[in-house]
Amino acid sequence: MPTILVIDDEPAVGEAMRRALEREGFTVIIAAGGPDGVRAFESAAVDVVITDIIMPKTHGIDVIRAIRAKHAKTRIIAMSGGGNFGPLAYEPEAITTSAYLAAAKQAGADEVLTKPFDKNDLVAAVKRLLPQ
Amino acid sequence: MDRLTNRLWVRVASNVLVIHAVLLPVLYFGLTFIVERSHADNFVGQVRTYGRLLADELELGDALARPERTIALLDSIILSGQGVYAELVDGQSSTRSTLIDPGFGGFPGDDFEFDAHADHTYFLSVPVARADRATVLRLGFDETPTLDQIQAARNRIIMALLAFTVVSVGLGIWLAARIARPMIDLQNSARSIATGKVDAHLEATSSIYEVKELAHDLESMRSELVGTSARLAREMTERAAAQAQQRALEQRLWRRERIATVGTLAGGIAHEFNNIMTPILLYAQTALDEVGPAGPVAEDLRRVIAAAHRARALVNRVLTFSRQIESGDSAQVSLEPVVEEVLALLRATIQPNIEIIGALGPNVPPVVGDASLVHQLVMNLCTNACQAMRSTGGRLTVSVTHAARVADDRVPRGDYVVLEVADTGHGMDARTMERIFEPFFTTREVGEGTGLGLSVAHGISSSIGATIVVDSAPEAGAAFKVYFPLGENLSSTVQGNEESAKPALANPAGAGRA
Repeated sequence: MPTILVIDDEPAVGEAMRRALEREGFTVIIAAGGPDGVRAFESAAVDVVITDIIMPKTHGIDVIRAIRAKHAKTRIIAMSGGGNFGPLAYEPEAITTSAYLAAAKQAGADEVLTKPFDKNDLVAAVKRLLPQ
Repeated sequence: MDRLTNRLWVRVASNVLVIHAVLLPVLYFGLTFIVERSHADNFVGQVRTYGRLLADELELGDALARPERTIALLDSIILSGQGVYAELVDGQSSTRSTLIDPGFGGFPGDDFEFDAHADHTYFLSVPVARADRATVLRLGFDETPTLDQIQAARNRIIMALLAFTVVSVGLGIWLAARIARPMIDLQNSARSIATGKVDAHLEATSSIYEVKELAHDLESMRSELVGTSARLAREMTERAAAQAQQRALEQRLWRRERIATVGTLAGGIAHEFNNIMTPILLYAQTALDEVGPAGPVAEDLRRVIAAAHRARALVNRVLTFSRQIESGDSAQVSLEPVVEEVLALLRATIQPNIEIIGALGPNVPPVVGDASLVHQLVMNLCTNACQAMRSTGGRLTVSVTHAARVADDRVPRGDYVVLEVADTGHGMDARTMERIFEPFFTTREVGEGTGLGLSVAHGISSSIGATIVVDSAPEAGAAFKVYFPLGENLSSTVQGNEESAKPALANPAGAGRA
């Protein structure tokens, strides 16, 4: 069965995605952050990587670049919960959700998901990336 | 009399008096000395000449040869009133006039000074030349008439000096008044200026050079002051206007920053909220798949999923406000069909005591924006207006017009499509208007509204470059106007948005701030 690597600093999100994907027959590996995710990717044969963008320490964009550097053909889904992460002052240019996801696509993500997404949207995105 | 005149003439008169108090005694004593000397010299000269004439007569005539003639001659001296004492000493013998006052004791000796003795008699001895023996004519003259003349002269001098003083003081006062007159004119002009008549010229009619120069200098000063005063008044007016404009700008900036700060906060909360909602939604949908659509808790799970979807929609509205959701593909949107659709929806849902009037102007050009966002903007404004009239009823007027020259100073001059949503509801005070676009700010009861409607409208307006303003007063309804830019306004707005978006996309690693 295809193996999905989920990288998210929120354990509850990772576990919920594991439940949803395992029920659809996928094998799911959970990583709690960017470095763990990259290590997990190196130690297992992963078909699809789903990574959060906004995480402490290592940024999701960097994770995508690292994985793309090691294996150019791995399918990657980027996800973000939105929000504005500039300082608490007026910053018109503060990074927005869509800007993050656009940057993720530029870095090599094949699909993007905006949290909170429906289970069907998640499964559909994964299936689109797997070889028929 | 004016104070200035009083002071000047008193000063001049007193100065004249002081000068005279010093000069007059000197003059008096000087003149008296001259008069006294003159009278005394004259007296002495006369009596000596008289004595010499008598001596000549004695020498040349025969009086010495005849004693009765001698006595007659001596008596004639006293009788003529010229002398009071006459004696001829001839060797050892002496012949005296019989008319001499018995009070005279004898000849006391020659006097060399006038009025040297208390008896006021001047004694003189004149030698009479005779070949055989020494003969002397001794005479005495009364000084009293001459002394009286001297005293009369003194009195005349005193009178003349007093008259001189009076005339001097009078002249001084007259001169002071003449000098003071133009100064009083100047003073009156100055007082007139002090009461606000600054255009009154400072003039003085005088032939005195210094006074004319003073008037000229004061007039120059007045002209300068009038100019300076006008310039200061103009500058103060300009400064007040600039300060008012600055206060208005500061207020707008402050309001904008507050809204932006709340938006940033809302964006941060939305991120956390979405992370929380993700497992709820996924677990509920997975569990629903597990139990099947007819399972014992399927309905409960569907409700959880529905609630989660509502929560997601709420967060999306918050993000719209905080510009986290960018507008979709910008396109030409015609406002008329959007407004008509919204009004149709409202007519079907609102209570019947609210009258709805749509006033859509002809040939209104389309605006640029995302159609669904513009739809939501119109809907939110109309819903807000209906909420303001829900208890009392009233009239909702929605108009769309094309304004080539907008006169509202809250928006830059230019070409706009103006959407106006006006109600006849309870209106707002200035304090409420300041906060009306803040998220979660509401004047309604708890549970009657989220307080997001107008903040979302504000967010949509900002995202498509439009400006939203409100006019209202308590119990006077409210009118929201949205200015959609056209022409050059639009291109500058779009350019600004593109520039502001560049850093975010060009340097995603900047997300390290997260």
